Amino acid sequence: MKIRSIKAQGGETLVEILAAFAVFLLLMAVMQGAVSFCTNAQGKSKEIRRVNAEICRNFQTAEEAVPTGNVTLRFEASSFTGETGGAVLFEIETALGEKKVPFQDGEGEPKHTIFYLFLPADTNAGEPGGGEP
Amino acid sequence: MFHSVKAKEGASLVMVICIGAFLMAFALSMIYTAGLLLSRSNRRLEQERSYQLARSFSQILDLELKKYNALGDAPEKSFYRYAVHFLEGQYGEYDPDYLDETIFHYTAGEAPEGMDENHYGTIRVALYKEAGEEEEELSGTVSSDAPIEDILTNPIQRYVFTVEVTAETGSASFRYRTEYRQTAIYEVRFTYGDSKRPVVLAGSEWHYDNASGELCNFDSPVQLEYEYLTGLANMKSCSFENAYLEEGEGI
Repeated sequence: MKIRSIKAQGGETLVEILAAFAVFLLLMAVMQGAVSFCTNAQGKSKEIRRVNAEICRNFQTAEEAVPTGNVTLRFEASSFTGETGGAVLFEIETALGEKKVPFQDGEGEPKHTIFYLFLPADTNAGEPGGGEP
Repeated sequence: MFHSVKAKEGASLVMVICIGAFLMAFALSMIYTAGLLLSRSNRRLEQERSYQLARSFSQILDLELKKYNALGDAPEKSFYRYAVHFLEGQYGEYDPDYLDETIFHYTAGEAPEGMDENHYGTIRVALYKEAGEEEEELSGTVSSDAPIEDILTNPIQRYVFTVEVTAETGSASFRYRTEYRQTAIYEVRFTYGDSKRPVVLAGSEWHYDNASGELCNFDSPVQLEYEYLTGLANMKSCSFENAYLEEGEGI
C-alpha cells in the first residue's frame, strides 16, 4: 500500500518526459514551418504586387498593340450566366491585338508579358508597325 | 486513490491533445491566410487583363455606335442597327426591381478561328435603356406663321443607352460600362383644330392632309399642334454620344 502511494505521488517517468518533449518539438516544428511559409509567402506576395504594379504602369507607355488578324464575333441573346441558344443578333468585326509590356522580375532580369486586346478591324492586320513604311 | 491518479493522467492527455490541436489549427490558419494572400496577388494581373479586354472591346462597340447616323447607312447585323432597334423596339426600360426583364444579355457564340479563348476570354454584352430627360417634350404648339425648321430638325434625346461589356478570363472577370445619350430626329405631324386634322406645310402654305390637299384658309395666324412620331419608321436620323467623360466609365 505504501509503495503504491509513493508511486502515485512520484514525478513523471523519463519516457513520459521524452514523449512530451517529442510532442513539443513536433508542434514547434509545425509552427516554425507555418511561420516560415508565411514569411516567404508575404515576401513573394510583395514581389508579385511590385511586378504587377510595374506591369500596369508600363502598360500605358508600352508600344502600340500589334494586330494579328481580324475575326467576327457573333452575338446571340443569352441568360445572365451566358447560356446562349438563339439566332445571331449582331456581329462585331474586330482585330485581335497583342501588346508587349516590359517589366523586371525579382532578380532584375528584363522580361515581358503579353496583353491581349481588341482593336478596330480596319487596322492593317498582320503588318506590325502600321503597314507600308 | 488509484482511481484518482488514473483520472489525473487522463486529464493531462486531454490537455495535451487540446493544446496540440489548437497549435495545429493556428498553424493551418496561418498557411491558409498566406496562400490566400498569394493567390490574391496573382489574381491582380488576371483582373488587369480582363479590364483591358473589356475596355478595348467597349471601344470597338463605341466606334460601331458612332460610325453611322441613320439606320439606312448601317449594314444588317451591325451593332448600330441592333442598338437602334433595341431603343425603338418593345424592350422594357431599365427597372432596378426587375433586373432580369430589363437588362438584356448577349454572348459571343463559338470563338472564331484564330481567336484563343484562353487569351481573349469570353465576351458578354449587356444592354439597357432608361428614359431621357426630354420624354415629355414630344409634342407642342406652334403658330401657323412661325418658321418650323427648328421643330423639324429638333434632336430628341429619348433614351440613355447603357452598354456593359464583361470580359471573363480564367477566374477573373471585369465589367466595363459606357452610357450613351441617343439623339434622334423624327418625323413631325402637325394638326389643326379640335378634330386634329393633319396639316402639311408646302412652300409657305399650309395644306390639309398632304402637300397637294386642300389649302388651309387661315384668316389670321392660328395655333397648330405638333407631335413627334417616334418609332423606327419615323426616324430620320439617330446618333449616340457619351453621357459621361471617359474617366468616369470604368467600374
